[in-house]
Amino acid sequence: MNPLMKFAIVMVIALELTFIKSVTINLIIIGVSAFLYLFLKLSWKQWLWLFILPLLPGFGSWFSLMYFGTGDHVHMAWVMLTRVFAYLWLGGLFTLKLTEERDVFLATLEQKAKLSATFVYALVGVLNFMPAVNQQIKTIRVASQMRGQTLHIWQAQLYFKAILSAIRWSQNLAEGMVSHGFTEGAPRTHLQVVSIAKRDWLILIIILIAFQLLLIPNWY
Amino acid sequence: MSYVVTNLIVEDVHFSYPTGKVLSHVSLKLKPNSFNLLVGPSGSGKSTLLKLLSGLYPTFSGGTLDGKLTLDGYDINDIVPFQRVARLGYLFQNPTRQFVMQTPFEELRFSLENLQVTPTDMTDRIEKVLETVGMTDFTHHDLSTLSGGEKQKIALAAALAMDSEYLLLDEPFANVDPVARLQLIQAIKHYQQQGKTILITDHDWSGYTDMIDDVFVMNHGHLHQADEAERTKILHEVPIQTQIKTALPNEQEHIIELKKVALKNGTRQLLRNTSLAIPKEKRILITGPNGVGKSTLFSTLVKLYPYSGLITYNQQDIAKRKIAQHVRDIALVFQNAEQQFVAMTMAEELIQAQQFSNHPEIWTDETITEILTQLNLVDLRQHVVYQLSGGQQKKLQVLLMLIVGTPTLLFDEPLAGLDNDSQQCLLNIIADFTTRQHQTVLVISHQLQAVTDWFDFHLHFENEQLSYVGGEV
Repeated sequence: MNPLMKFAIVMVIALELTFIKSVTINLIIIGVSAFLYLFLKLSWKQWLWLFILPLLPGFGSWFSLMYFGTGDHVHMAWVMLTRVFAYLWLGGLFTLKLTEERDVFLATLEQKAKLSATFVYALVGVLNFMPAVNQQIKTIRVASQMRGQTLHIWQAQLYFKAILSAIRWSQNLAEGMVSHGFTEGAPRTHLQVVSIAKRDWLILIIILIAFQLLLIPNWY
Repeated sequence: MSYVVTNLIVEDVHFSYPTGKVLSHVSLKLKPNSFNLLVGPSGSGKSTLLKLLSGLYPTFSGGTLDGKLTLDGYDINDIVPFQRVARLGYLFQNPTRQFVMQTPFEELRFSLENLQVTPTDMTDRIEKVLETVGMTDFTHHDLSTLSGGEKQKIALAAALAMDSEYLLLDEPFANVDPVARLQLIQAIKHYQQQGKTILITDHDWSGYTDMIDDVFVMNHGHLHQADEAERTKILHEVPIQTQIKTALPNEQEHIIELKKVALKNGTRQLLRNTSLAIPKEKRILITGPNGVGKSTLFSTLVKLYPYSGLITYNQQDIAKRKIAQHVRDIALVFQNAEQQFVAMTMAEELIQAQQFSNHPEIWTDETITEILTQLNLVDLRQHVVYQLSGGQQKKLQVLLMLIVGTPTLLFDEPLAGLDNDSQQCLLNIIADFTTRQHQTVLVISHQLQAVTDWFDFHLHFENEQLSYVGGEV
């Protein structure tokens, strides 16, 4: 399925979840996500993250509502706990596969969602830069050690150098884009034309309708 | 052969930064389908002129431009990038600075999409230019894992793929090994034969002297076309390729030892099962083709890159040494000069280096002023280091590391992009001070003509092996 379509489904459902105070619905979302994860062949590390990440915010809100809340607080405590899990597991359906689908996602944003190419390629540049950041910080530290100066992680000068190199880098990126012919607002051709299959639309509609129907009964 | 000629006019161009004038009264006329060489000492304004022609300046510079700079009657800066690039391609001096995408294929695709090339032609065109520069095997490699020279080849491929009528090349061969250099010269020659006009800045025109039509000379921001006599004189200044004269090391005191060391870059094996020793207080040259792993070897020696096997420094396993202590004994002079800077202005950099110098008695204010004068840097003390020209940055960087006086210095292409005089001057300074400070010097360089008698020993890196060459032939 096209990642942008996935993104749309995830966003719509997540938005609705914010207004739904139902433990059952949240559990259904978690259950369906878990079922889908079985087909996505996650690594054990990714599973671990899925369980650990929601723990703190989930139980944090559970405890505060359970013991310090008023009114419908017991119900709401469970809603909040399951909601945090539902958000993360739902979002994971999109994000955990994003590294592999990144190029298609960005191409869809540009070609189908008509997002400005400037924004899309700036994003591409940033994403390509991310892995270099760690190495860059390391190099900056060693480079200043070679000059006799040790920069510790609490020292502002380290970040000053890092920010400076980020600024240099963004300038280089802009120059690189322009020198390779990138023009804001001008039409571009595309080697890979992204098309969204009819099937994707169908799945999107079915899932969203099914989800609305699910909301009709008065769940706990 | 008939082709549409785009008319490039440069008339009475002035360019200045708030800190001073860079170009004055510059006029330039390039004959259609000609091959032009632009020469001049580093910092004279060659790169600035090329960046102005390419339309990147003044937009990306903070400077002001006066005068006429037009392409077919339109102001170069008024032409939108994709139309400008279709007529005027530009290759940056610093190869790390020009990529947007992750792989060579993606980068070229990005460029061609910008130029609105028909999608069905794209793949062909990309494959063809990558073949021209000999980088087919790297089509889908991550650009960040390529060496400086390999990146330069990809950048040239991008410029060739855009098929512009004018091609502006800013020291395209500075980080390229001699074999690849000949290959790239051929590629550029072939490109010119399709009716294109080339303007190239370089300090070493050996290998393509016979291709050059006109020679332009830049001096302190003034440009003139060399007349016949001057042209002949300049073109004869080609450095003669001579044999490097070195001996093989015999039993001596060693400073660095490698025992069964192996290096890898992703899946690429760089060094295999290599054992050798580096003698103390000597000057050692390291040569080898682009991408073979020379810079990686240096990174390894300063603990910035993982390896297998055993490396010792002064008989101590470097894996067990704390990095802060280690790099006070053995420091790297980075290929990219900007990585070496810790302050904003040249004066601040110099003060910092003096403060941490291992030999403060040598580096008095007078000595520094004298060396700055020799390097033509003396008037630039208040300049921000990031605004210096490529060559000036290189010279300052080397000076700073000499002032610090680390016992072992690893120079990664210290001569790339410098004119002959600057190269000689810098080599003399390095030789003088490293001898006085009892330093061990390792140098990666492709600029071999400058260094015939300079080194004690010569290490060659090829086919996953690093070994000494030279001695009695």
